[in-house]
Amino acid sequence: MTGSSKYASPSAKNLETAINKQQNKQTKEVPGDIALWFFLLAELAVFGILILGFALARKTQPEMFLSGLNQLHLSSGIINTLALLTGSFFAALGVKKVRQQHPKSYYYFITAAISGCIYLIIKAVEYIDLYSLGYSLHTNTFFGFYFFTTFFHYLHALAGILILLIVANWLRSTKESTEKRNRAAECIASYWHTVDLIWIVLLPTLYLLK
Amino acid sequence: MLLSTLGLTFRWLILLLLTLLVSFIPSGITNYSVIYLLIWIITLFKGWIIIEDFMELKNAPVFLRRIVYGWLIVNTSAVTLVVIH
Repeated sequence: MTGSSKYASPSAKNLETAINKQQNKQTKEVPGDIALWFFLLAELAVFGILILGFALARKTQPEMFLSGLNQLHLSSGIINTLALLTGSFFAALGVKKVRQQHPKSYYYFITAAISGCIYLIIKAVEYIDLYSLGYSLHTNTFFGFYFFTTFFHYLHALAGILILLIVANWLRSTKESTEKRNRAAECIASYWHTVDLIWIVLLPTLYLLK
Repeated sequence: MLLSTLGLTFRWLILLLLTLLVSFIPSGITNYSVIYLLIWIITLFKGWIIIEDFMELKNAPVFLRRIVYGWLIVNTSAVTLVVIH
């Protein structure tokens, strides 16, 4: 089909081009806020350093690391992953429902927070279990890395749950514009997905690659 | 193009299944290099779903996608390589 037959007039073609440009501009935007993404990239960098440090330390002391890894229970790692993935799913659904202006969209963020609480409880039980067996941050290099990295991640998940609940409460009661509601939902969901992505890499690092 | 609710649900179920799958790998395969390679592939695939569909970076600027994918690939590969060698 030629351009002359597709468009009734040059102005119609210009209008469609302008709409396409606008759509392209919109689709190239980051979800949430660009400032938040700088923060998330910094978080990824910190965890990246910790994971690479763990890998290097394992290279130099393989026996100690293997012995430490054998003290961790795969089942708790798997259940924690399922809980975090479920939280991520509900956060993603929540964003979708907020965009659709669903009146009960905040429920999805509460459900995501509940999934996150399962992770917190299981991880706390794991810490108590290891501590009762005599393992702590000072036991050796492996447990130093293990406790520091996972507890740092734990604090991020805890912060994420609190913010999920704050955003859910805000979405329930606010009369703010659709744009502001969308942005808030996208920001907290992006944060939660980042916490989830970090755990996706920590799972093989700590529980699977033995 | 962003995913529908059904599409998101489908991806979530895939993520759950892959997570359960990796917990059963060691009982079936005796060649450890193959197990490590499989875990590496599954981790990257799970990360890819989270980045593309949950984080919605599918349509984000290229620099952001490259950094997040770079982070995922470098960290997962480093840990796997250390174990293999």
